[in-house]
Amino acid sequence: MGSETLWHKNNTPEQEIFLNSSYNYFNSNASPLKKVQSIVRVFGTELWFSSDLINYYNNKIYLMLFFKSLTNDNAFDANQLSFMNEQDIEHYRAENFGQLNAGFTNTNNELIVTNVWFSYVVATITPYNSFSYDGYLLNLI
Amino acid sequence: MPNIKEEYLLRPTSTPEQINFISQFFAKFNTSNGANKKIINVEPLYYVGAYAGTEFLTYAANKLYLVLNMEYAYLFSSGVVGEFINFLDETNANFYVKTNFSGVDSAGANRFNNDVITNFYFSRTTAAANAMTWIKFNGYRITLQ
Repeated sequence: MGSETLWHKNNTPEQEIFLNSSYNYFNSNASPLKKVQSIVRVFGTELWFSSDLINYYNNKIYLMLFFKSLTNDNAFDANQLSFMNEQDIEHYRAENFGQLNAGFTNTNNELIVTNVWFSYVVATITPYNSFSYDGYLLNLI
Repeated sequence: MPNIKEEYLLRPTSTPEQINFISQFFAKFNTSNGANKKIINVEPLYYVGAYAGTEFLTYAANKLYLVLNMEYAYLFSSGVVGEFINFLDETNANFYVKTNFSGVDSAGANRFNNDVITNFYFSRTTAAANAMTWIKFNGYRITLQ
């Protein structure tokens, strides 16, 4: 339902493959997974603790064309994201060691992941960790 | 025999690098006078999840993967100087080794690190020194005659 929301003539080949595969996965009659009820375009920039992307619900899946985590803190040496699936199980992890902590203060560390789906993310918790994203929210029934 | 054309994989938004790579790939595998087998099927393929047990680890003489974008994350331990992945070609021979030393951690903890490869093909992969725990593949599964 509403899958036309996903298709644009300016989608890259990678986006086309990702969106087709992911949508079909969550909307398959052969799958025990819930069906797609509606699709909403989502984008924004927000601090991690005020973002709904860190909360698990059993009826929503994000298809992110672009997802960026930016940490700014000297107490952590890595920017790590765990992507959780529809069953609340980690199914992908990304990590960037861009700047190890020793000798640095308030270092920025940027981690970008493209074309990934998840129900929610577990992120490095620093005071100024923020998310920037552009993609779609699938509401499942 | 199906006549698979490279145009099937091209989109208006394909990058110049993708167009060049796909053209070269078809020139190698879809010629009638070469030693290589012909392409008889292409399937869009997206996978994200655990690396262990995936089809990317197994060799078959009539199977290749065409990578538009592949990211992988692996665990390495203190004392390991880097991590690398072997890519094997259509004859099951190792033809490319990609290393990434950027995540070496002097603190001695076990760490994950990510790497990415684009516009490439392989028959299978092996992680030589470290467990490559997660993989995100975006491309095509190619079936050869």
